Amino acid sequence: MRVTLISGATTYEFLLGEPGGARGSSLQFSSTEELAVFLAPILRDPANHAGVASLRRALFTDSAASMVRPGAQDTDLARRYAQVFRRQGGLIHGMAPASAGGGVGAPPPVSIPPKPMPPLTPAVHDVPLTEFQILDVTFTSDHDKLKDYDRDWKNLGKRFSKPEWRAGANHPISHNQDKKVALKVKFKAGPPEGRTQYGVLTGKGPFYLAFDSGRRFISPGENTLSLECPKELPISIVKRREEIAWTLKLEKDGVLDGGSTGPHVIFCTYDAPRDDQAGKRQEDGVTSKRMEAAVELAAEIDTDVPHKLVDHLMGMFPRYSLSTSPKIPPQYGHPSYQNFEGGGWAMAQFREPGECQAIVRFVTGVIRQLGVPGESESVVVYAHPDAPQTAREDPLRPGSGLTAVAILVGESRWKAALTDQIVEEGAFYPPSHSRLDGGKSPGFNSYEACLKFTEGGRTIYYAGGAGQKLSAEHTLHCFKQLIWMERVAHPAKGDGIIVRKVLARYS
Amino acid sequence: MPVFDDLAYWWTCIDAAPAESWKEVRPDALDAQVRADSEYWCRQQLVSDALPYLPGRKEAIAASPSAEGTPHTPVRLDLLRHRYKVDDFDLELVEGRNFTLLRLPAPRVLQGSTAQRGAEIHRLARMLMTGPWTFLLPGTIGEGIQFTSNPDVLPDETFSWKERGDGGIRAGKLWFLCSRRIPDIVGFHNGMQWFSDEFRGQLLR
Repeated sequence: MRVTLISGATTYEFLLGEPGGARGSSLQFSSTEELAVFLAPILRDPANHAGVASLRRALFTDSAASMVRPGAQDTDLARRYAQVFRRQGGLIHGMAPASAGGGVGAPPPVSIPPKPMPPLTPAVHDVPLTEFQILDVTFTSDHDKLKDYDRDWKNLGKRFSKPEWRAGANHPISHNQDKKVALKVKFKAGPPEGRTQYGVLTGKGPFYLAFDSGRRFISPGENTLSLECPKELPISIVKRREEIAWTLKLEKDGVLDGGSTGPHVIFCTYDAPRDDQAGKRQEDGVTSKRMEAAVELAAEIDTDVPHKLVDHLMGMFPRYSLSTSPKIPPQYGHPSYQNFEGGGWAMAQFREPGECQAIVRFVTGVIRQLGVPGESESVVVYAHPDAPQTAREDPLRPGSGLTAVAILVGESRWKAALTDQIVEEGAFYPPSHSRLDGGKSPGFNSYEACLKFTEGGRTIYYAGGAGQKLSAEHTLHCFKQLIWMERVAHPAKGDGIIVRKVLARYS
Repeated sequence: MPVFDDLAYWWTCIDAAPAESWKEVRPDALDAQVRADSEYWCRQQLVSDALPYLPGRKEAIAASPSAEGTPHTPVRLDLLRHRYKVDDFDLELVEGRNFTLLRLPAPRVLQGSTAQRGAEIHRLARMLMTGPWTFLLPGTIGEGIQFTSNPDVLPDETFSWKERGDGGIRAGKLWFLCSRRIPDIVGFHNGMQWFSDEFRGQLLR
């Protein structure tokens, strides 16, 4: 950028971002204050209005520029221009005497006597850069959703602040497994009077955290560069902890070592976590504890096939459970996991079977945390007495399945049920799954509760204790029969069931 | 055969437990599964101030084991009983595997107008239980009445215990009952098999 401004009878050319541009003939100022004194009348002069505006735009951001428009505080104003102008390595050349109204031509340079400098202090442009310090690292390609709560499974805490790394702070990120890592690195080069020059900033970590800025303009003071690693993160759901070693190779002053940043914790996920249901679902919400658990669980199988991941998660719970476990603290509400402690997430900790709906909520929580594509839902599969051979499927909710399917037969109330053992018409049975010598009594069920997972056009039903099924029909065949039954009170055995009619047999 | 009535069956079984069948037990001596079930359902169904097992709460716990019926005595269920104070009320909590029953002396539900008695019933229900119920009360509130929040559904045909709450006045005491409904099965679990054989053996010694 070049802009021409006048001071009294002299025209000056201000140069920014043009290294090497006639540096030898530029004016020398021993301090910011000296430059400010020089600038003050120039900034004040109405003849320079347009030129000063150009200079302001070149030196300051929009927001900063609004604060440095010429006004009453001329001295402060000039000082701020001087500071930034010097920091950015600007040069000033004296030109021909100004023509009326200021000029933009290219008259021959006039001779401005250089200010005498102390003999042992080299000129600004001769001081080498010898200091290099990384100030902070801000990831720009991460998901920016991770919250800092790890005390328990609740969805609490605040998003980790940026920058992720700076002195005294180091925050984890979550990031797509197959995307390139991009970041902004802020560093300081010094000493302040050091010379501006070209240089290359490199960050050396594993191949997926290797950065090279290319030839960039390096000034004394703070510099910020945006970098992107040329290689993607490997395809793997995993927690990574890596350091990056930084060096600055300067064209004039050699290689400076900036030390290392990190270890940077990167939770590599399939995609951005899905958390848009956090107001409705306890399990939605991205916290460091949940992310740690989700990545750890997925890392156990390390697959990019969502169905395999769901199969692995379901494998943690070989069956559904309707019984409370004494091993799990009561505040978690096992087996329903209806609680205010993060809902189903505690299943990652206790790994005890729970109700189907709880397992579905947990699995859904994990796959949404990892940004896994696909949808999971709780469904019930059953057959109705109206069509005993036809499998029906409902969302798991009040009124679904056979919970309220009953008919009055005379004074008796017959209820529909699906059995898990062969039963006989007219026989009396104790309540479902009563302890018997050598086993358990038949179960009289309202439905088979399933996790239904659909991804890539493929649906699988995960039936509790019955493994994977490819359809509702297959799931129905977990049962032996569809029957009408009646609850009765046996004078010695208590309440029980008489099988009134077998409507269908499945296997 | 008349329709099976869960409430009547449970009341018969509770009444069938003779005084000598109740044995005091320390909370830490309870069967672990029973304790877990008890805590789970109580946390679901009772407000936190009305919970047994609260630290510092002086409660007396007793258990009565199940027994088969005879021609002269009805079936008995595995039952747990807690007696403790909530505010100024002497509360009795009787648990079976399939229900939670609260009993308390509440003289004010037998005083004043019907509206005042009804209001007192609802006040106490909300003071003790989480159930969001409005009971359908009879025209006259007095000894022996029984009421429910939902006469349209039987307890064993609900999807959740929250769909129906029951209560009444019996022997001068107000009672509330919540089922422990598991929708996956038709009917309820075996209420005679809540306790482990080992725990039942300890009670019978």
